[in-house]
Amino acid sequence: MSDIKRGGNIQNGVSRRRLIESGAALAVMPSAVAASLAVPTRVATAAGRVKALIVVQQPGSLRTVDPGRASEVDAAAIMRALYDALLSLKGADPAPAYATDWTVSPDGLTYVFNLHPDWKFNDGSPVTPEDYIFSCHRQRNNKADASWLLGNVASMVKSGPNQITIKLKSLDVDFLKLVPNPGLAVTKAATVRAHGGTDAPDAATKDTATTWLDQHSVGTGPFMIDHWDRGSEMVLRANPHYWGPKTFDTVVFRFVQDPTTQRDLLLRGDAHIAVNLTPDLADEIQKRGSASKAAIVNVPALGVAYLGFNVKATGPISQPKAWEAIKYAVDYAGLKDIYRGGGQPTGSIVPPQLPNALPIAEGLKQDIDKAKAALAALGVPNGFSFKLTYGADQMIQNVPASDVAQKVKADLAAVGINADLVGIPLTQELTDYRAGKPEAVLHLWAVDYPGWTDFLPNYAPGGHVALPRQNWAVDSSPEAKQIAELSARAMAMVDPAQQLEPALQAQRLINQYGPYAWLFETNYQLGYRTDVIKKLSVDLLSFFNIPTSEFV
Amino acid sequence: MTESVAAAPVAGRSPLSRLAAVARRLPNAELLVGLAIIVTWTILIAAAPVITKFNPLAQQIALRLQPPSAVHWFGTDQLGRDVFARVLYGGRESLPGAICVVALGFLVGVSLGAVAGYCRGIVDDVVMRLTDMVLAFPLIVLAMAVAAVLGASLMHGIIALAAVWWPPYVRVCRALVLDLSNKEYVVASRAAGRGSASILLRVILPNAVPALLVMAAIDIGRAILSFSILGFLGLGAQPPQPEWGAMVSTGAAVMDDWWVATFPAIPILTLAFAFNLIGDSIRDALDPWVGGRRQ
Amino acid sequence: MIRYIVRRLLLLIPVLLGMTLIAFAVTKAVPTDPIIASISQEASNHPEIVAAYRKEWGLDKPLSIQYLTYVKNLLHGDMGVSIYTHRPVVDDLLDYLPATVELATVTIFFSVLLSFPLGILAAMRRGGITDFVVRMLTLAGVAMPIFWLALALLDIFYLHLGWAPAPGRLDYALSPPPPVTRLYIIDSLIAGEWSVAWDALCHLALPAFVLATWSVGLLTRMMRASMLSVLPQDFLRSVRSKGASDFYVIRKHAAPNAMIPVVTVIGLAYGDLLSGALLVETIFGWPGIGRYAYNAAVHVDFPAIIGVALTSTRS
Repeated sequence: MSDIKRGGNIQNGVSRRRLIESGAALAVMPSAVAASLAVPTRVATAAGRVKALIVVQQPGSLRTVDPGRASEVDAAAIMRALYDALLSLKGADPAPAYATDWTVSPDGLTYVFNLHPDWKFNDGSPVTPEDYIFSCHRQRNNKADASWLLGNVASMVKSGPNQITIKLKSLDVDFLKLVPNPGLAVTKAATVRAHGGTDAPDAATKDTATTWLDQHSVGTGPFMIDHWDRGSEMVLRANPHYWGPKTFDTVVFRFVQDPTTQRDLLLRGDAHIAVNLTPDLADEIQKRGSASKAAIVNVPALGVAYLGFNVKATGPISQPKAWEAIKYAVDYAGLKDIYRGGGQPTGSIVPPQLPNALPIAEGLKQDIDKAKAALAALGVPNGFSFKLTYGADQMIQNVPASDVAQKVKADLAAVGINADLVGIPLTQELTDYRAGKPEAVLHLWAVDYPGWTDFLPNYAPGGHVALPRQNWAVDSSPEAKQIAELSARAMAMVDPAQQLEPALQAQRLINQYGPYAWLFETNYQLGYRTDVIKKLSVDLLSFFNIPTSEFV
Repeated sequence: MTESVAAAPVAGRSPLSRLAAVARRLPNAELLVGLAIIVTWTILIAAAPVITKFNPLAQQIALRLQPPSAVHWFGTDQLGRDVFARVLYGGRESLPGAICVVALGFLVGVSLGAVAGYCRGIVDDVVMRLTDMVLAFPLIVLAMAVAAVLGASLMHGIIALAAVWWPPYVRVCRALVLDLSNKEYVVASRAAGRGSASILLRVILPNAVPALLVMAAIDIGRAILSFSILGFLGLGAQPPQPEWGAMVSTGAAVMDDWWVATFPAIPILTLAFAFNLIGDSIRDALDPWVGGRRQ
Repeated sequence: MIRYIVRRLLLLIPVLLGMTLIAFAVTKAVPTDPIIASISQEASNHPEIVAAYRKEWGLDKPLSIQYLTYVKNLLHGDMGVSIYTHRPVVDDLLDYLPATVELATVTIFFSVLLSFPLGILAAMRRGGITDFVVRMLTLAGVAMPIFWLALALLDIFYLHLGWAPAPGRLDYALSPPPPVTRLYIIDSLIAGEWSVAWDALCHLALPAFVLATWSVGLLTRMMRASMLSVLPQDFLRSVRSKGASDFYVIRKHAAPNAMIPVVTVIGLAYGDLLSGALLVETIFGWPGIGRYAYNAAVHVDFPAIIGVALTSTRS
């Protein structure tokens, strides 16, 4: 039975072992040599180039690579290697992928995409608009984690032999930022259907293709799944029909949870890219210099770590003046020593890399005198107490949340505010926070798509975060009403130039009056081997992209 | 007859004379070393404010991860806190906590195991099945439930740990009691008309306890480390309070700065060592047939 | 004897059920919502997605119905679907349990091989230098914080010396042998892939060594303590007085008696190892049940929690 799961390869007449061996830079050692236990580093052959790229990452939340269901960050790099969507990302901007070019109607509701006529799936068959539409409908009707991507789509139709027209229900100025998501990747309808997939409205209960799609992929990406040993490794082999440049025969994703072990693998050359290095480990690699053949590149993760306060809590913590005191009390510069290369400052909720972000110079700053003045205005010049809830086992990117929480506690204590740290398992913190229970939290908002609308409207009064989690309603205060209006106005502008001013002003007012203290934006710190990779092409959603990188 | 009595070394004497016999055999090098280590640590922990001027909670971020120096004897951790101070103050949570957990587990486990092994039959079945059920139970879920219902603190962490700590003691004690119940001196005692409870308490258990003490002594170190998993999930002592197990596990993330994880590991190692030494010497004392000769 | 076996088997069912009930009750006592805990950030903002998941796992039904449905399925051999991984729990267990079984078995095997002779030797030479050395080593073994040791050894033997292979079950260039037991060493021996078997063993070496420090320490000390209890007893003296050599006395009479409590402890140690060593697995990238159980616990994923507990109980 288990052979069926891996049977695809045997059907092709190529056993996995021969496949990987032929692709390996160094042939598998005979047992006598292996007995020496010496581990040669897997670096360049005499021909100058490794045949298999080895990436080490945490298995973390990786549960499936079915594009109709995969949604978590830990699957991102793998999905990027397997599938393409209509669009990709260049920095934070949409770039062509399956679509060559596109037009948007003046009212922002209709999008017309022209498609490549000559693209092929990895089995050689042509890609058609019907395949894309099937994939999207399957995603939506599966009602899985990423099905919200299409929540605002009224219709998606083939409007020409190589053209798709998408109509939205209501204006979404960042719709093009949703399109590159791997959840909207194009897969071959016939194959997915043949293995139990369906895009019918009852797909949520009837679709059974996930098991097959976890071991096989029919996509347009540079690689395809060879096999997945859960918990151990996922092996990909090259797509012979790929539209872009050929790089490696094989890519191996090894799953190792511990960052120090990832670093060890990188230094010994048993991995060429390490995804989850902590700031201390990254610094240590950089200290070793070029002799270690390892280097670090920082990629903005577009996540924002912040303190959030509950408007409906009992006690001083529910008051805007208390928030003001806390915002002025935090030692943002000192926090830098904790997150180092794993983070960077942010002006407000929208990360600096995205359009309409408030400049860092206008961000929150420490000012002890102003903090004390705010306390006095609140009527508690000697400070007050509140409970700060956070995920005890949470890593904010690769910075322990408990370190950040302890630092904040110390900062607040300096002005007399006592933050009682309540560390609970992250899963419990998520449950409590999403139900609006804690007085105050240390939380990380991770990016869903690289658009400013994933941030500002959620945090404006009445937004998806502000209201249910912190009880910040539009009518909480006159300032709240003003902020909500500004946010809504920015969202309604099709022309980006007209979004800027209301968005900036909304963020200024949130900084001043909102129940949030923005601490920092998160970075990934990727480690890579300089003797294999000349230049690692980074990607905001998927860490790195192999075809656009340069190799030795 | 004399042989069976002789082979049951601590049976048939008054508790006081038995205690005296044990006490006479006690003072030996191992016991002294073990006690010395424990006493030393206890003094260090209790006198922490006198020994170090550093506040274990005081952060100096700019001085984070400094190697051991004349100022910071054990270096500083990720938040710039003095590791020496944190090791000393950390003992106030870790040491009593671990002792409580093992003591509770020992008491519950040995009681249940003795009863199961001696009474056999239905009682044995019930106890063993209960033990099976708890043995398979995931500690983390239990700790989460306890913390959620009662709140997270060291005390509640102890409760959660103790609740799953006792099954191994039941199993071993039961096996020992079953085996000892067949000895001639037990049969003889029963024939002589001694009550069951008396036999269990005075004849069987004292001969079973030495091996069990060895188990308990080994457990102290494990108990301390178990707190680290609880601490990692926020279910035990709360940061920023120092606690040895938690310090080792958070220090593991910066192993290149070895002092952060290594110095808190030293008290865990030495105290576990010391408890084992004491366990050994008590075991030897309770069994007079040291070296094959009656002492 | 037959009656004993039958009684044990009959009692198995209520025990398992009792265990599932306790596990269910404690799991539900945790206020974490398994759906909210597992779902992606944006998806949690969409009630229809959350509702769809709740329906899928029957979490919208009353607790008693949830429990009874679970038990009914269990009695039909269906362990349910994990709320976190969305896969049948059986499939998850088949993926992760073999790695732990292999590691635990190798660890115990070498622990017993080493600790029995050491324990007997130490008891025989009680008070001497051999005894002292053995005792100090075993003390260090049981007192050592395991993940500290794991990191230190990985650092020395992999990073600096390169003697140990890269963490994981196999070299990346080798594919696992055709699955029979899913224990790589056995399966590759069955398939005649000698280099794979050797590679698997090499990869097991360091994690097994780390885990064994504790069990060798424990078993040696138990063996020694047990031998010391057995050695002076009168029947041994009578054997000795017949003029039998020390070694014969040990082998024939002392050791078998001494082993009784030790065998229990071996069982406990093996069971302990089988429940997975979370930290060792994390550090060595070992795809075992420890990490799976941890994730299940933290996500309050009761089919997975009970699935893991059931497989631990049986072993």
